[in-house]
Order: sequence, then structure tokens, then C-alpha cells
Amino acid sequence: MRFFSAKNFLRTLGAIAIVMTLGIAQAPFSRAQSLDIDQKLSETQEGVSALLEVKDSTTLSAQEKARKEVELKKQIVLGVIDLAKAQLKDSKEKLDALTLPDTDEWKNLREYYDRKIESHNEFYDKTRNDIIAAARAFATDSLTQLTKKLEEEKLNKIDPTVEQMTNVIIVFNTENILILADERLKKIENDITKVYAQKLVQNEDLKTLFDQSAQILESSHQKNKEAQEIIIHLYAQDDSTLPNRYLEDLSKKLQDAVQTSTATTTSNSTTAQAPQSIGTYLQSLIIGSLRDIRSTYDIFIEMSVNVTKYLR
Amino acid sequence: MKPKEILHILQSLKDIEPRKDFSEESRFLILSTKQKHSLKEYLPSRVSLSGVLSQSFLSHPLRAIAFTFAGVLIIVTAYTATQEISPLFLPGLNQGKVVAEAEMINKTINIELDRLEYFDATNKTGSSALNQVTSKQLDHLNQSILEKEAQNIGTGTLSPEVEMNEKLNEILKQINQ
Repeated sequence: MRFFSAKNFLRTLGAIAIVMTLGIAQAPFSRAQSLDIDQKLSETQEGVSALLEVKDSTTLSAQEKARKEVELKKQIVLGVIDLAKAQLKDSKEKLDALTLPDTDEWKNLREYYDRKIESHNEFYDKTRNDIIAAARAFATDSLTQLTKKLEEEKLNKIDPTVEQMTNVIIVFNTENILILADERLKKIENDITKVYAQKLVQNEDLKTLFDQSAQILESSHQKNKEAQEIIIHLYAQDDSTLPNRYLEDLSKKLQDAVQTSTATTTSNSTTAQAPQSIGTYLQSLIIGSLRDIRSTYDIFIEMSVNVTKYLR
Repeated sequence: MKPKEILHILQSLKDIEPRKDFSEESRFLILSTKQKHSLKEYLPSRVSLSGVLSQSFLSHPLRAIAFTFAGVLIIVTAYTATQEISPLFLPGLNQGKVVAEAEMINKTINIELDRLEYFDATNKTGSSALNQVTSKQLDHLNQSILEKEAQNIGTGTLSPEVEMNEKLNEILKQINQ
């Protein structure tokens, strides 16, 4: 169990401020996160609908149809580029606002993402100019080729970077939530000690619930720490040509788990499937850590209700 | 002179008294003399606690602040001490506080989980839009158009046109390979 000491007071204040900013000021993420992204998303979808209508039209002449199609395709591709650039900008702003551990590896990781963002933005800007030029020249084949290249680059290189940055943001925001949860656990522990020392409650329910909550919270900490470690190694692998022993071992461990899980699933169909890739595993750790905190608070609430009942 | 004789003389001094008429005359003289400063001059006309305090605090505002602060401190200390000593004071398990904190944390967790979904949704929209640009599907047998049309007329299942479109897409894929 992690105990909270006085020297972490300022850290807790920081965590409270961050969590309150996230929880109260930002409101529903999907709406408030970035109106810019929402707007671009909606414009792109409208562009696609318009393109489908033009394609399906029987009233337009072939020439008119081709002209409109090129114009709409250009608009859609430029919309996707704007959307992707807004996403990069948003991730960069959130990453810059994070307090990462003061170690060389995390400093390097920040610099690595800065370099990546710069190079992705350069690619998008160049593609944007090429698309405009191709549409102006009515070069439909060139427009298609450029779009295909954009699709590949985005899917294979840029999206994974944004995904990694998103993971870093969530992992460190979770760490701030964990500081608050630890603080609550410590306060509850004091109360539980008092309740049993003064024999205010006879049964062991509160103690059992407390042990459960402490265990789940510890599991959340472990998942968060492991997620941090994986992130550092994943980035190091991207930034180096040397084989990464940690990731190789993890990959083997996951493969073994999949084989065991498959064997068990054959005999018992209800068993959950083990994550197959490191990316999926990382995501399961991130989500698991957050869900553990939620479960811990469910128990805290149960304890606070029970203690009122017992002491009545 | 011997000590005994000295002692005897000293004891005899106790018996010395003024003349009766001298003492009466002196008392009269003292009482009849007008005093220069009366006691009233040193005291306010009406002596009250509030009067004394207000006069004191008005002339020394810092003293007033210090007294107020000390009073508040005493009240807070007394309250806290009472609560701490009370066996029913359980700040960690305060239901209102725990529920409020849980709500705030739950909201923050939802934001974080939404972040992942939002990332996926945005990427899917981008990919789907780019697919439409590079698509080689026939104009009137475009799968998206047919699915949208099927949705509009309330058909849940794929229409024969959609199935045909899928077959055509397969053919196109093979041609492209």
C-alpha cells in the first residue's frame, strides 16, 4: 500500500488542481476538447455526403460531374489534412501541459514527439500543396495517388504517433487521479483504525472492504506503472534500430498468454481472451487502471454508507 | 544601657498618643481642605465593559484585530478538538465528501476514456473519407450510397444491389492487384 506523506502535500494540491480542471472545467471531453476538431470532422463528413450525391446524380453531365468530383475530392482531402493537423496540435498542447518525470528518458521522449510532430506537419503541408496543384491541373490520377500516399502515411506512421501521445496523456492524468485516491485511502485508513480501536463497530465488514479497496488501488498503480514502462520502451524502439529486450520479452509473454487462453477457451468458452499485441495490452492496462480507480471509489462509497448505518 | 532597659523604653513608646483636641482639630482641617484632583477626573463618567473595550480598540485597531483573531482561533480550536475527540468524527468516511470526490473522479475518468474513443472515431472518419476519394466503385453501385439509401427506406438487411456491389468491389480489387 502507498502511504501519503507530508512532503507530497504540494504534489497533492497540484493533482487536485489538475483533476478539478479536467473533471469540472473541461466538461464532456468530446464536446469541449476541441471544437476545432469537431467542426472539421463535421465538414469532412458533409463533403463525403456531397461527393456521394454527385456520384449518384443522373442529371449532371459527365463533364460537370467530373469537375464537381475533383473539387469535392480536393475539399475532402484538405479537410482530412486539417483534421489530422488539428489533432496533432491538440495532442501537442496536452503533452506540453503534462508534468513528466524529471529523467532523461522522459525528456528524450518529449523531444522525440516534438520532432515527430514537426515532420508530420511538414508532410501534411507538402501534401496539401500537391493536392491543390493536382486539382487545379485536373490531374485525377495524381489526386488519387496523393490521397493513397496520404492514407498510408497517416495510417502507418502518423496515427500511431498520435495514439502514443494520447496514451502518455491518459497515463499521466491517471497518475494525478491516483494521488487523490491515495489521499482518500489514507484518510479512510485513519478512520477504520479509530472505529476498531474504540470498538465502535463489532463486525469485520469495514475492514474487509478497506482491504479490498487498498488491493484494487494498488493494482491500478501497478497497471499505470507498467503502462509507463511500456510507453518508454515503445518510443525507444521507434527511435533506435537496436532490438528492445524488454519488448521482446513482453511480446513472448503475451503470445504465451494467448496460447494458454486459447487452450482454456476451448474447454471453457467464457474465459476472456488475452491481449494479442503490445499495443492492445498497453490499452488494456490504461483502461484497467482507470476502471480500478472507479471500483475503488465504489467501495469507498459503500464503506461511507455502511459506517453511517453501523454508528446510528 | 542594657538591652532589657532599651526594650522597656521601646514598649513604653506605644502608649504615646496625641492630645484629644489636637487629633480632632487635625481631622477637621484635613476634611475641610478642597482637593485639587478628584477621583472622578480619572474615571469616565459611565464605566462599562463595552465602553472600555470600544475606547481601547478604537485607539488601537491592531489590538482589535489581534483580539478578533485570537477569539476565532479559540473557537476553531475548541470545535476541532471536540470533533477530533468525538468517536463519531470520521472525516475520511464522510459520505458527502466521498460521494462528491467519487463524482469528480468519475467525470475525469470518463473524459480520459472518451479521449481514446474520440481518437478512434476521428481516425475512422478520416480514413473513410479518404477511401471515398480513392474508391474505384461504380458511381450508382457505391456501397455507401446504397447503405445510406437502405437506411433511409428502413431496410435493415443488405439489398441485392449492395451484395452485387460487394462482388464488384472484389472484382475491382483483383483487377488492381
